[in-house]
Amino acid sequence: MTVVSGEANAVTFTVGGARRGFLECLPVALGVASYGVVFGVLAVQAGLSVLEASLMSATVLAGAAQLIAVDVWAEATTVPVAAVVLTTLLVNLRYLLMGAALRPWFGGLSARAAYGSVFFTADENWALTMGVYDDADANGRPVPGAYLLGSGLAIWLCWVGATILGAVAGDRVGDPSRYGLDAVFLAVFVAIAVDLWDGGEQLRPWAAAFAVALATAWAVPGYWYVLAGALAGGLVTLPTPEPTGETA
Amino acid sequence: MIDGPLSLEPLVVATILAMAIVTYATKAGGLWVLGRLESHGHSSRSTADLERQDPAGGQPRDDGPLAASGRRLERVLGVLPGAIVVSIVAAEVLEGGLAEWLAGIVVATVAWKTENLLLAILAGVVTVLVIRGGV
Repeated sequence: MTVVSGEANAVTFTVGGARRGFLECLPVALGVASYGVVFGVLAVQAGLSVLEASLMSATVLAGAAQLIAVDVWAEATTVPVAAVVLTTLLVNLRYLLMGAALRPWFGGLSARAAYGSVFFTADENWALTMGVYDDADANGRPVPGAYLLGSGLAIWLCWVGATILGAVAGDRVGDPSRYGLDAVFLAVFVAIAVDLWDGGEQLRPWAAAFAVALATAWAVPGYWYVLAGALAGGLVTLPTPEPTGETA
Repeated sequence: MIDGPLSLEPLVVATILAMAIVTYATKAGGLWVLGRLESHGHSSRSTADLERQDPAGGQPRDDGPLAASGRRLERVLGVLPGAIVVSIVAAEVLEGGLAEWLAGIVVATVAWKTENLLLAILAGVVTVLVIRGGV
């Protein structure tokens, strides 16, 4: 099949590609580590051991979801299994879209390479990777398929390391809000929102979600506001007329 | 605390593993679903449909109600992640006071301008500390 311009070029999967991803992602990984430490602190204060907190960071690798999970945990008297798993699913739904976006390049990789790599997807290295892949396509260069893996490994190392640091220091830190660390939680989510913002079409659904979540959080205890806001956003977007000639 | 730093409570570990499975499902799910759709000829079919239409630009595709609801679903799925994230932000600012509201605005501005996560977080933390009267 002839390669048409705009289609994916040859996609490699090499150690060199992984190494490039790792090195180029290190500065970003340090930023992630900053709130990894906060996660560690909050986790042990919520009742997890250092080992449990580290296990979560190592196996889940999803900062926003982990932060909200330990928030749910801290409020509960017994282990809040259902609430934690549900909020984790909701907060991580965006990964479905991010994984799908990788399809043009990952479709040609072996299942092991593709599905092994996506474990190491985080917001930051995904954005970095998409930029590199698009750029390679635009310039007719081979695409480093292992870039996601390498960049993800940098984040994984920093994330787990930071968690351990925070967890060990955790009990000694006292009240995190004394250092403004509770703002880190807010900052992470605001930063993700800014990242997800794609233009005017999202204004109405997002405004609806925000308003409904605000009202629900005020009226109803627990984490129902997440579901309510999501439903509101989804419902508001339904009657939008089809844009003409515009790609989704 | 009775548990040591290396303790592992079975229910906690089970919850963590459930989180991990659910998270991996979201990370791998999009890729997997598209792979299944492609192997059932989904994308090749829509390409053929497009070729049958007049390729003049700007025309809305008229390829049936099924494709239209597919696009609607895509649009709803596309807006869900943002809706969920702003819902969480909403609850956070509700809980907090002036400090949190302002921090949120500062973080959004810094994140928008610099696209640097670390700077955005620092800006938020500094804002909160300054408004609360400093440390």
